[in-house]
Amino acid sequence: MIRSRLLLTTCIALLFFAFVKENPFYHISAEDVRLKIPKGFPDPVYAFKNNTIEPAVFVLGRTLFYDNLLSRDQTINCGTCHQRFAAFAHIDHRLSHGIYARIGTRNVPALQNLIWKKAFMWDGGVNHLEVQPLNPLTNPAEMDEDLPHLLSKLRADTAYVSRFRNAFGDTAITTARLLKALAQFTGLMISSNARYDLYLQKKKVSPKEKKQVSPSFERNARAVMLNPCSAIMPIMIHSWLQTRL
Amino acid sequence: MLRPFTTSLFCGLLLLFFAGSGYPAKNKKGFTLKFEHRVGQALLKLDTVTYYNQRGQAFQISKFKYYLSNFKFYTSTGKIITDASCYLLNEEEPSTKQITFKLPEKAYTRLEFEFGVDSLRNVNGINEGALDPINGMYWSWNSGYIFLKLEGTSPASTATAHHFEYHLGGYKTPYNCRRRIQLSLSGKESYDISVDVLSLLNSELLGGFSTTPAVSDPQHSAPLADACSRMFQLP
Repeated sequence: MIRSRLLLTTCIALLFFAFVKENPFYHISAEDVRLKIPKGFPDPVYAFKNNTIEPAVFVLGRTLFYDNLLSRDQTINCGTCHQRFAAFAHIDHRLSHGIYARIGTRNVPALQNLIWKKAFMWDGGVNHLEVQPLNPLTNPAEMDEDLPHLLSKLRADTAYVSRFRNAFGDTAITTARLLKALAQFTGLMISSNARYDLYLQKKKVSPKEKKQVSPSFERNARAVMLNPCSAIMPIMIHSWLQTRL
Repeated sequence: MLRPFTTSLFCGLLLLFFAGSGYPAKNKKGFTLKFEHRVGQALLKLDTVTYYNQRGQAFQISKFKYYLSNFKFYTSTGKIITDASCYLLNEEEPSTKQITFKLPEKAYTRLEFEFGVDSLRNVNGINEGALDPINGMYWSWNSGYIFLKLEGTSPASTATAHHFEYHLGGYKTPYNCRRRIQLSLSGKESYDISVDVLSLLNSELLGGFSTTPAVSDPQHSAPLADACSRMFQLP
């Protein structure tokens, strides 16, 4: 009786560890974060120069992205509005809300293929992927933080001290390291297997879909695919959501 | 009597020894620039002292900080030594108002530096040190550096609580606020450079605190860039 219970417990434990080991969320390898430019895509605008992609930096960026610590009252994180299940857009919301339910004047764009963008934010006012997060982090209607206070919170957190050391070699927690880690995470959100991508790759699509492809469709699709400021992206890249992220 | 070979070897070694001691990399001297913040003839003191612009408007200053970059030192033969760094000078931090360069020992006849931050560093993403946005000199919504902040109060200011706030910057044509400043040198190793805020505050294009209590974008900064460059003079 005890022996069979022990056997059962051991089996469950083994299964659990097997699952954990295989689950990509817990184990990011160098191959997982290697920059793979999809066939037919142009050269990226941002190619991670001075920000070499490393698993530990990527994981740090992902941790920061989903951490409420980054908002002033520690109630919201980047993922609160950039919803993972919706291509990192904010579905079912006309406008995105920040801390204390403050409503701004914008809805967040979806996030994919950011390394091909030359300008960010709805008005194109931000000229580089690395400096874009400064806006939601410091906007009073969003996360309402300021850089000195934010960095002091991270430095006081022993888990972050350890993560920054793993990522960058020493325990210095700076604006540049914070933003570069976020750039590695957001920059690797690359989408290239929407139905239209498959068509471009000469893979099988339905006759009905083939009929939809006109010159204006191709023009607009290319613009939309390289520009995440579109609410229809969640529909178009549904298949991508099944993969590792 | 020494053999010819040994003699020439010995002389060669002597020559190398003495030639080596004149090698530029080994002989670098400190060259110091001290920036004195002034309001006209008076030294600038934050918050406690009341000054007057040429319109007779009283004011006090609570903040004065700015970027200088790309220092170039010219010798009489036209050789140029460049220091491409950006420096943030801040009245609240006196140590930032003195910059010491390690330069090869030569006579320098001219000094050149830029007011502001060059366009490359405005577009290349996140920068560290003096250019870290944590220093409060960066426009996050319209990517680019604030070249100068001059803030304070004046009864003449029409803004809230009589504050005035000049945040000047911009690197893109037609609102490029970068300016080159050239000063003649006279063979010393240390120079005082006067930085007179009245050159900016008395600008006709500013029109005094009541006309323009605040500036915070490149479009409104651009007309004032020349006045900013005139702040820097050898006394």
